[in-house]
Amino acid sequence: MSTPTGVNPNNVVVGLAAVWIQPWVDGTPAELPADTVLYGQPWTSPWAHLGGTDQGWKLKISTKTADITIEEQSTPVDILADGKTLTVSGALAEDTLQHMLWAYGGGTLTTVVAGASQIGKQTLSLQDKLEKWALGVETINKFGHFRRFLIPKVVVASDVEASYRRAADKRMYSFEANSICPIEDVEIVDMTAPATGP
Amino acid sequence: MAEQRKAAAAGDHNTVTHEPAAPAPEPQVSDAAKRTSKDKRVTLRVSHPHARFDLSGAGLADVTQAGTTYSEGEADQVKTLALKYGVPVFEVAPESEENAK
Repeated sequence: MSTPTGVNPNNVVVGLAAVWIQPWVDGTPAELPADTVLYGQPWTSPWAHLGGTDQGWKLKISTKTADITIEEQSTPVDILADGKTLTVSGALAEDTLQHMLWAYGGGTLTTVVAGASQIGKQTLSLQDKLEKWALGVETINKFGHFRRFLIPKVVVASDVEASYRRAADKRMYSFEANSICPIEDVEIVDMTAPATGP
Repeated sequence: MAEQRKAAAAGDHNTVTHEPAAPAPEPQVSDAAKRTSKDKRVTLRVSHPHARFDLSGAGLADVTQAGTTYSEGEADQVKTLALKYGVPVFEVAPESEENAK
């Protein structure tokens, strides 16, 4: 049995996503890595990798609509976009203070190196204020190259409940980033082919 | 030059003139440049969410968000410790240091 007309199995893609984060800085918008940074290669600072997750990442765009109706018609005469939310969510499976800070939405880290009569330590100070971040998401596309999303301004507002189990499961930190930038500022870039020459 | 190349290609080396090369002049190096190359200073900083990288235990000045200047050797030590402790430190580019002044 042949593939039905119009169906292209090559367009079906499976694959993980990696999520990168950096602090949002007013007046210095975050940028995706250069095009020469190929799929799977590390993104340079200030991007930092959010690390391993429990069940991968989810990127969700929801549109809240408003129906415009008239008494004389049972169906809406128009449907308008009332609101749109973009969220990136996952459960961070790496347990460091840096990962906790990301999951809790903000804070500061102070690191002290060990020395004579000085223990090495790191301190996370939490805060009420939700900090702003930029997120980059990278996954593979049907061409075998990168697909990158840039969400230049998000806040992380998650319900984080870490379970400390003897052996049943690892420690995890829920992470949910909500976009607060105009939807037009979100970029999605597919690399379709490598450069043909130097 | 073209004639010289032709003569050389034809094996007539006598037609190729060799002028004695003048000694190359000593490169002019300013005192500031000499000082810079002798004891290069490197400014390192941490950025948010890292508030401070406390290096007192290693006998070095802390890396702050404002930036701290080290000798080249100290900066190498700081970078090694930063890798060990997982703290991203950034080198402040010299031109931005100039701008900061």
